[in-house]
Amino acid sequence: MRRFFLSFWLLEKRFFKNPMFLLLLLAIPLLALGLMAVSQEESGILKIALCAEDPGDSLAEGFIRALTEDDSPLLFVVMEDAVEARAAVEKNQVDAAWIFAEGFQEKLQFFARNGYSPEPAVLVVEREDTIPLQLSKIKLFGALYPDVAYSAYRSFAKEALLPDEELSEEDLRLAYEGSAMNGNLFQLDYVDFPAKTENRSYIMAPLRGLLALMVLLCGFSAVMLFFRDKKQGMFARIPAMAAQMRVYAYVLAATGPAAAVSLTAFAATKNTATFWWECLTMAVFVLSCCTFCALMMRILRTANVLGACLPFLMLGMLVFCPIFFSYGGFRAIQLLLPPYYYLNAIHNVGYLYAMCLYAAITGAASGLCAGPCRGRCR
Amino acid sequence: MVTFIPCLTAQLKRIRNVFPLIFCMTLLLTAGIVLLASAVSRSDALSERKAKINIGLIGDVDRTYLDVGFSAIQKLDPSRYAIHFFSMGEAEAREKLARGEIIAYIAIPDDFIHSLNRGEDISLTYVTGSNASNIGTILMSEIMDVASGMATDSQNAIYGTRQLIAERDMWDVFEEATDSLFLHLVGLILNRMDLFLTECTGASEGMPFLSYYFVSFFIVFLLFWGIASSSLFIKKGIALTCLLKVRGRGVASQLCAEYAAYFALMLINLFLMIVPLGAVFHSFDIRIAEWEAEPITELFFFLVRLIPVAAVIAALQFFLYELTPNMLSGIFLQFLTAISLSYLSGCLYPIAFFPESIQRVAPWLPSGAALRYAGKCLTSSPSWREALPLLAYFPLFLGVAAAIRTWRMRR
Repeated sequence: MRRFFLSFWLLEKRFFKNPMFLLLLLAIPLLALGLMAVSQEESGILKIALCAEDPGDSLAEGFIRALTEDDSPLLFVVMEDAVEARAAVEKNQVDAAWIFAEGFQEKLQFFARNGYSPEPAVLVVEREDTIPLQLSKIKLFGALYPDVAYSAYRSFAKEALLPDEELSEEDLRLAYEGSAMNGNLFQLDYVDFPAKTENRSYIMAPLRGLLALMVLLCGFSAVMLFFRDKKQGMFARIPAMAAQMRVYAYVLAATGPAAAVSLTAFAATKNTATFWWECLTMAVFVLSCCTFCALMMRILRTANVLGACLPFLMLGMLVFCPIFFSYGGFRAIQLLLPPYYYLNAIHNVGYLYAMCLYAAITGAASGLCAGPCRGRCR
Repeated sequence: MVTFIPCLTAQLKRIRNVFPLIFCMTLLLTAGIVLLASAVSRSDALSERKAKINIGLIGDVDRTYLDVGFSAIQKLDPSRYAIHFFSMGEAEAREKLARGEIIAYIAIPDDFIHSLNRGEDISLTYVTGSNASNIGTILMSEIMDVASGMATDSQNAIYGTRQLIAERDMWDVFEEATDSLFLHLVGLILNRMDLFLTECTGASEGMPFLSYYFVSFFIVFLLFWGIASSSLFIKKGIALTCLLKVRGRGVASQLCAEYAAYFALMLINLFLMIVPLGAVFHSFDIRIAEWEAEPITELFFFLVRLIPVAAVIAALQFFLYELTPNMLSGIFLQFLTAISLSYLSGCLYPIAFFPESIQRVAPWLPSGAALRYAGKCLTSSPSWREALPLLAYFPLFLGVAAAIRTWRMRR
């Protein structure tokens, strides 16, 4: 064990003597901070142009102002007129245009009173009617609904409930606001979520996954270095068993600093759960990276094969682990990849146990693949 | 040229040794991605744009008004084409959420309806998974906010009416008026599409979603492919280069030969992908909107037009390996560059998702310029505007690589 740590320490010194390695490590938190700065700028998963056919329509103007000031994953831009908005959709500058029709206020009040609208109050222009755009119309209706609900209440009170009484606007408003509810119908929760991360911007969301891949890639690079050192006869005088174990020192020496800077990047971008939870999950992830890399080393055998496989492995992980997209299927493949456990373990304690089990299984499999070790390493 | 040819021959021999292996991996990579694309498109879950969003419901939904409410949403509401609710137990919901079969579940408290009737402040719990990277999850969270606001406004209207009734002691119409207004409000919500007229212009200047990701796939593939060649470029030292220089093979000859051989390897791999890709396009009936002829033919011509893109990306990778000949840093830098450029130029998320500043910078990044050029290759013919950044990057990368090597040799 002492020799293992000694070789780990010597490797660490070897890596840190390389200024480029240090620069790259430093680049990770800087990149993360850059990404955070970008995520704080205005952006949205859908970009929607807003305009009113009648520039003097105060209600439409009010809606446009409210939508643009709203903190939403939809990004709203105001356009001068319908022609410009339509052109922006056609030129792919925006995903859709919401054009408030002339007589918008009257159409909205008619709808609220009668439950239907003979003419549309808003013209929605899109290139293709995708699911996100269909759902965005719920957002549009949500913006209109406070006025619709109040108009419906007013017309109901005046026309159906108290037709003989002269109800003033003030009385109506008083009764409406006097009983106003402020509670939220939905409470957001996360399944088995030990600690909530603060920054949940979609631009920042892939950061954790990308850094996890980077940690694992450092492990693979270390295995390639191990192959080269082995080829150069560095382990010729070491017992085979000890040489086989040395790969763990290589991977640990490479993944350790990468894991540490990744944690720093998470902290710098406030993309963290509690400190101890982050450290624990990262430690178990590094362990599973070590066993996974050792197993891949046994299976792939040479640096050339491993090097050729690397893009396949990295792209596979990029697709199958929940970094950019979350797919329901392919669970059997997902369970083979260490970042899958890590990304889920941050929010789900069950995956932390699963990651420990995964490390144990891959470690045992790597030991089995190594076969009996006798004599000196060749 | 006299010194270039022997250098090139030597490099081609090196490449011949690794070619079968790299090609096998390229095939495996292509097969994996194609398999994924076909499985995803077959399950109609492509990129969350065509898929329904599945949400679980837990709690005693049956025998309550909630059952009527959710049935109404499923059968009458315009969102029925986008959202699907499933009633299930909590354990099942958690399992399905973990498997990604549902994006969230709504937990309904036992006495929810009675509490609402009593005017108490009670909430439904919307439980989602940990990952917010999913467009569906982000949109659903937004819609939950909207739904919550709509419920509050409806409650305000109903409680306002009740207040008017209470002030006038009209208790005989209390129930009837409440029900009548409630049904009217529900009718307004269900009939909301009456307010909107949706007009689809069809994709004109912009690419349809599938085409966009098809082009992005090639750029990401080329960027990551550089890692596969790490064993070719990671050098043990500068001694051999210096020796070749002494023997009359200058830096330019060496560099051009190495680059040409690497570029040839990239092109061979790229073109050999046509057969499996074309076969899959054909058998799974995957249609790229811009293609009129057979997929194999179209793919071939598309890749021919993509050669300048491959040349620039190969030059970029060549430059990066020249920058860090060390094993660990070399692979690290390739990956960091590939992932950062893919991300920032809109290959992973569509560029429209990013803020204005990134959208402005992205076309000038090597990968962004490549994406724009490749996009034009698919939709029409690229003009000098798309080609110019690529033309600038190509000599820049090779020139800097030559300068680094010269500096290293002198040192």
